[in-house]
Amino acid sequence: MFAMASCDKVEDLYYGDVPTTDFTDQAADYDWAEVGDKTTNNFITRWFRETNGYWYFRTKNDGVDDGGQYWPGAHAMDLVVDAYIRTKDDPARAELAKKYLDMFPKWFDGQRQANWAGTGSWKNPFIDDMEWNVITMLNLYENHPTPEDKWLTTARQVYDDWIWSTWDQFEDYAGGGLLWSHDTIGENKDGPTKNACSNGPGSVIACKLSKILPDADDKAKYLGQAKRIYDWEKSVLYDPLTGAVYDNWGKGKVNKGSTTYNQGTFMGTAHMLYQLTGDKMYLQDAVQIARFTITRLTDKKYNVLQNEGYGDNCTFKGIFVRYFILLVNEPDLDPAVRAEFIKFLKHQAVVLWTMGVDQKTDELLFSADWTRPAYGSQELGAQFSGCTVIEAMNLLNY
Amino acid sequence: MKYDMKNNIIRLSVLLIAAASLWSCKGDMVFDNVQPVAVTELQSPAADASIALFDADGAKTEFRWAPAKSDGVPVYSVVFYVSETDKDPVFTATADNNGTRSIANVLHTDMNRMAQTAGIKESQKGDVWWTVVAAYGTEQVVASTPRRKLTVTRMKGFIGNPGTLYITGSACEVPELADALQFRRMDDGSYEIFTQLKGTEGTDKYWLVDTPVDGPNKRVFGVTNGALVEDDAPLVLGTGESNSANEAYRISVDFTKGTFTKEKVTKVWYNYPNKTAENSDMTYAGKGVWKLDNKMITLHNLGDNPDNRYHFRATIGGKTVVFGHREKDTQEVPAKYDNSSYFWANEYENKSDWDYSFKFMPRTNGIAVNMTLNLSGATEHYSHAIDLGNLVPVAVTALGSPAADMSLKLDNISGSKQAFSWTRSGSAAAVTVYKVVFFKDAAGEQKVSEVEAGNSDAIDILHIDLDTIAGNAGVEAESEGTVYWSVVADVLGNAAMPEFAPRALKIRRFQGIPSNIYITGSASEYGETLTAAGKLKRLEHGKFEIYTQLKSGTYYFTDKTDGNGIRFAVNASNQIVESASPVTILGDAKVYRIRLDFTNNTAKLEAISKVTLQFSPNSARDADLTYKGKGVWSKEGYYVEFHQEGWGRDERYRFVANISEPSAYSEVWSALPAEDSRPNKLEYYEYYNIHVQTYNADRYSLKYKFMGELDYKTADVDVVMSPDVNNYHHKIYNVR
Repeated sequence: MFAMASCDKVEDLYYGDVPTTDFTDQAADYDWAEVGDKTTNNFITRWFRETNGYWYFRTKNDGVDDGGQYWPGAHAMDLVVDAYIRTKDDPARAELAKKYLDMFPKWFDGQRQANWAGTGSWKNPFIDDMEWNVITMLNLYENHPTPEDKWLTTARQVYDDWIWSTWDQFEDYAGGGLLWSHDTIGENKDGPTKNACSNGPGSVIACKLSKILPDADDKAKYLGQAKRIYDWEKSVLYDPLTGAVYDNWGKGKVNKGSTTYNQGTFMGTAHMLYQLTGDKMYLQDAVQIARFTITRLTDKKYNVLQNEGYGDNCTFKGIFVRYFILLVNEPDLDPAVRAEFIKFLKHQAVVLWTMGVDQKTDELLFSADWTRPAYGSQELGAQFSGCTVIEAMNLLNY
Repeated sequence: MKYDMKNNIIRLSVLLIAAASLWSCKGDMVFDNVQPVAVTELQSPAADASIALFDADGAKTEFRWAPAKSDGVPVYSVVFYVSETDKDPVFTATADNNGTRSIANVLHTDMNRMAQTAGIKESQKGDVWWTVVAAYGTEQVVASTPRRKLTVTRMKGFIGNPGTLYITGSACEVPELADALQFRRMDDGSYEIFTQLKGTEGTDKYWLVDTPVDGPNKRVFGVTNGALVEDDAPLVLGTGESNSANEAYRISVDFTKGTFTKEKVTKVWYNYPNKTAENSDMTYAGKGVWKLDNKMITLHNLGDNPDNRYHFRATIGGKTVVFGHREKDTQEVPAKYDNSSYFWANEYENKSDWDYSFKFMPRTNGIAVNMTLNLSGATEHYSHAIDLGNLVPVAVTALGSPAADMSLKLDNISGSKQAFSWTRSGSAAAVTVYKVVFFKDAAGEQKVSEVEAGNSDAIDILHIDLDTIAGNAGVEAESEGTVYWSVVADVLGNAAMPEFAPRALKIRRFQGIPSNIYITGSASEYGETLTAAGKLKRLEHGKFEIYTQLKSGTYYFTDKTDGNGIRFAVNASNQIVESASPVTILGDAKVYRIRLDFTNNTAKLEAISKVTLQFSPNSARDADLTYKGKGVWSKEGYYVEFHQEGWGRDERYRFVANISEPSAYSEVWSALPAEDSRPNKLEYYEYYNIHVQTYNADRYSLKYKFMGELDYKTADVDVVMSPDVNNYHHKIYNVR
């Protein structure tokens, strides 16, 4: 009767493997603000350090692998912004809030020092790497009570000159889309590729610029670009039947394979486009992309977002959670869907805090596997990903 | 709705079983008492939305609507119109899952065609209107809401490459349509042709067609305002456009971009590196072919060796391009001048004189050849040819020694040899090379070996080589058997076998040198049980090698494991001696490389103190391997992380072995010096072979590369110098 199953799916479009283990109640046992104080402060102390007057996030906490991290450092700073939002209105945490706020300009001045492609410059052959930094600059601008103009102007310049420009420059490849990297172009190389990891964040930036900039022409221009990127990614790198975001287009074909961060940025921009346009289609898309992630990209035993490995990959889950919490807080979300998403988020947080970290240690290290703690030398990406879940619990409005 | 659906499913499934069809949900089902119900809500794209069509494989746009509230399972289609009121659709797309979903993912290639039908031009924007039709059996109901307007931006370029493309017209080399010259379809889907245009300027014409056969299906392309158009708009030969005798055009056409480009080919030449005096212009011979006849090839020495590299160059549109070999620096020298893929010519932007060169056989030096560069679209690949003209081998007329059926007993004295000789029909030019060829069979069909004799009528072949040849021909060790030999004359790969049959030679192979050698005893890691003794790797006749551990105890070598063998030991002066007494080892266990040479009865024992995996760009990631036994070293849990450099990620590595006795030195265990590629799989293949090489302190010069997918992974690494494997190698496994 397999033919029947295909009929049944008409109704079952959005309902995959719904999480079974329910830790919702247990989530209430913890004071997540207190947990956030511990994990985020620990993270900052061990990873955010000064060299020659510049502050930036380091590869590892061990002081040995002390290099900067040009793009993971941006996500690490996004976490600090989360912590600032959590503490800014809490009189008992005024000192902490000030500490986080002081990091905004420090990060902006220091982060460029970690650019391997040119110390002191934001320019990098990898489009996505520049994008993550631009997103963070805009985060700083949006959240600081007295933001510096250069955070916005720099973000806009980097996006206009080095990110959006790759659309026209390489439009003959895949009919559009933002380039992933100039490094794949040249003799004996694969040629231009258009990746989900450069297009999702690119559309996020354009949405943010459209939202932030006051001028109506600017708003329309960047919204147009955000939609264009979104349409391209949806047309080429997305399976609307499942909600899966594919990795890239290269050498004339789509290379499948879904990762939490690509799901996260595409979901994030779908949500922002809904907020900017009111078109329900975008919200439906965002829900579907989220559903695919929380049902398919999970560890089936513990129902947590899967271990995607170390290196670049250990940053991915933190990126998904960053955009997931925004969607969970969306007032227009269907209440049943929200309940399901909250259940998933709380489950992540409880598993992570009870199984995924050794609370007896000072370091409180998270691994790439959220069901197993880490010890000793640890990578930046794995740590901020874990911390981001904790802060997400604090940002939850429902 | 969900429960309604389930009821439906139960009912449908009954019908289904009755119909004995596994394909449900399709329009050809029988519907009982189902009333047609129209879709009432179109959801996305929103009304008045704009979309761009993307020229990427599989690109699509999702159309979505609320399912009709009915008892039946309708078949949905999205229907497109040129206006809000027009009755005839321009395109209908069935919804996903054979029309059963309330979503349709419509391919951009289909929408591009639809837009064309709706009158929207390439790259242009235009409006279409869409709605949804629900069909119940033969009943169709259109959505009750108004059609939605959708602004569509078409892709660049034409719809549908013509597949084949020809040039025709009075200005062409071949004016007759039936014989029209064909364009080459390039890898990127564009087309090009090298051809002449000539005739009366202002009068003669040319145009492009997709078939050389006249008929209603023939498509004709011309150029209007510089852009390619599909209509009968022939191009007229303009002023100054007619080619002179030795010129031609390269015409490039790209249907996806809608472009037509014409560049003059003003010069094509044979290019010898760094010696412009050797270069010679080629003449245009028609139909995309350039020729250079009777060209004397002179190879100049570069260092001590003649530089045998060459390629072709052309000036096209004022720019110099190279037509050369597919590899930038090929090490391959062809064995003959033929039409094999070696001679295919690829086009490159201007490169150094040496890059993308072909290679002459060095003996071509001083010979005059005819060259052709074929850039015709009618052949599968652009290519070139070297033709030796009337140069033919000087044949062998008779064999001299050894006499027919002679018995030859090989002996172990170093340097022992046998003379082979033959007579030629005349004096042979230096370019002719003679080869003594050995066969397994009298008919000369199963060749086993050949020995080059140069431009000579005799050669001495060493007994040690004849022993190998006899072995290859199936003669058992230490016994006698027959091989057959003859002599071939070869001019630059143009080879001729004599008319007469090969000659028999009886060879008695080496006596008294063991074919197999084993190590055994309490000091050996193979233990004292003779049947479990470790078999040494046989390198060549009489030479053996093993990487093995020796510990406190005794050991000896033997040539048989049944107890009837001869026992050998190594004495204090490293001589192999027949001895009933084993060798005694005292002290700590060490790993040795033992090499035994029974042709001069010498032995060499070298202690290997350490084997290290060196990660070329970062010594902090070097790792020592642990000796696991029987010639295998291992590193468990090696974390691979490529080193980030400005140009990309560095993935190079190699192994270094430290030898501590008899004297201390190091060796590199790596790929061969020329190897610079990444492997394409983790499973064993020759890439992973270990070549023992002289130590080089440059960590990058002798190396391997990790597979790209190993970056940020942990894996186990084994170095396998076991006597049991055909090739020493390493393996990377258990990746996690």
